[in-house]
Amino acid sequence: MAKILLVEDDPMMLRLYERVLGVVGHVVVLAEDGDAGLTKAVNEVPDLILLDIMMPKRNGMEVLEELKKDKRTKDIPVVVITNLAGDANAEEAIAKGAERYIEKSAYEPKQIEEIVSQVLASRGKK
Amino acid sequence: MDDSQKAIQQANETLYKQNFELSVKNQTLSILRRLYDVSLTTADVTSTSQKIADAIVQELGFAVVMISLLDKNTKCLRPVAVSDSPEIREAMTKMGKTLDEINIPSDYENNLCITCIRNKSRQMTTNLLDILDPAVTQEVADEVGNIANIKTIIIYPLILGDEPIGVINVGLAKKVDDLSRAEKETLEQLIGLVTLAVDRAKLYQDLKEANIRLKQLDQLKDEFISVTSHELRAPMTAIKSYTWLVLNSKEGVLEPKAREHLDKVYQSTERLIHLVNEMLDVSRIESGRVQLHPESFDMRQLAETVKDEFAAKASEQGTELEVTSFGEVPLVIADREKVHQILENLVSNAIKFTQSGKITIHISQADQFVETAVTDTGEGISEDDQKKLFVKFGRLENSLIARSGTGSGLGLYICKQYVELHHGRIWFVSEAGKGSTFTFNLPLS
Repeated sequence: MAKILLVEDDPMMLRLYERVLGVVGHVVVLAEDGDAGLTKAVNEVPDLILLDIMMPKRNGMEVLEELKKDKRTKDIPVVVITNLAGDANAEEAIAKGAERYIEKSAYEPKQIEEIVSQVLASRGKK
Repeated sequence: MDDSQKAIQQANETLYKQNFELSVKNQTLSILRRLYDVSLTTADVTSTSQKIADAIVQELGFAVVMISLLDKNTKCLRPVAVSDSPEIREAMTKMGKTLDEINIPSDYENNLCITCIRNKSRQMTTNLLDILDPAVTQEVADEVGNIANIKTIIIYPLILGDEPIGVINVGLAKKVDDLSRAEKETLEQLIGLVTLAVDRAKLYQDLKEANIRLKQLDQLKDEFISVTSHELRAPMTAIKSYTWLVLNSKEGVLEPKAREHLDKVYQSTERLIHLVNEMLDVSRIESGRVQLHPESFDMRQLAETVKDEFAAKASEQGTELEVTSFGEVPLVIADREKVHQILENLVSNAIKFTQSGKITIHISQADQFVETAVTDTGEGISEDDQKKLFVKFGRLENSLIARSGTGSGLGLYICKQYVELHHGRIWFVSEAGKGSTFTFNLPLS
């Protein structure tokens, strides 16, 4: 069981992922925009961050940069999960330190939960 | 003075006149050459006009040359260049206006330049106000004329075909009658070349501007597609994911009929997402933004993966799906994901057109390439439809399945573009009623 910070502005998807991750026993902390995501990343110290890109206030790429700059959050694995397509975006996210780049529409909710578990397992966390 | 003296004097005068005309002819050649050079080497309207004005003044010794062009948007005659000299600079300062500020509305009657354009004929005046009205007063015009030492102004229309495009004002330090016949001829000859040079520059500039606008539009289109497809994908993902949740709920929650209907919702959403993704692919291909990430991999392994993906669907409709190869096939070097997409597309098409029968993915080596052939025993493609393959939105009409409405007609177009980006080739053989084979090749690792 792990603590997962979900940064996502679309309430529909927020509830969905919260549920899918909650069912397998993860504790899910929610943030509805980039700024809130950054604050919660520092205060809640999650085991993994699921990060959307197209968000108000501060977009996911900026949040990712801030997370990797701050020594309190730089070691938390980040999985980018977005509807934004494009190799360039995926490359940018990976270059900025994301573990994975997931195009939401290509995956079932279950597969996303599986990817989260894989990344957690690779960090020695279940 | 006796007769012989008179004869000598006459001969001298003739000689002098001939000499003068020869020197003017020389000047004419020299200025024509300069104008020709300007028109060849300068691209934009302002600097072309400036160089022309300066060249004429320098070569022919006039007081001033001003070129004005009709601006269709503002319906004004707009000065674009005035020859540069210390006197002209001083005169401009006295006038207290920049060139841009001496626009003349093209329906203003009291300006000789406008008359010149309307009548398409040369005009002449000794009053500078006639070409500057209504931008300055008589007083200022007189003062400017004095500073610049302008006694006469000749205004020539610049006419292209039958259309006046502007005027050229030539200011002389002497009276018109003092101009020699040769000088007048030179001026007449110049005008045509000036017109051509200015028009050429104008065309070039228009083209350049149009090109920039097009590029901006293209970029806007790409951004539009990218943002729109993101906005489309967000709700589609929500529909797909929630439908998945319900479909995967506990046994007995869903009535069989409801499950069947919901399955259709799910499949349609998948199709929508697929369609949006294809449009994104096309947009990327067309804007040259596709990036390949080549790696070495085993084509046979990839074929097995694709076979597994489609196994359920194939067996559902009673179609056999197999992968074969001739002995050991070397690795290819290519973007694995793109090739995966190509093969998925070919197999998905084959399944669509082969209701029962057999589909074979065959891998083999041919020279420096690995060939992948997808053969089906389906209905084949009619000759009419064959021409539409690989063409954007080229959906087949003479096929029952195509008429049922699935497929965007983008799949094979994308395949072809991706294969060609890899310096490979894609082709097909098909016979109506017997089936088709689509083959693409990729360079060896």
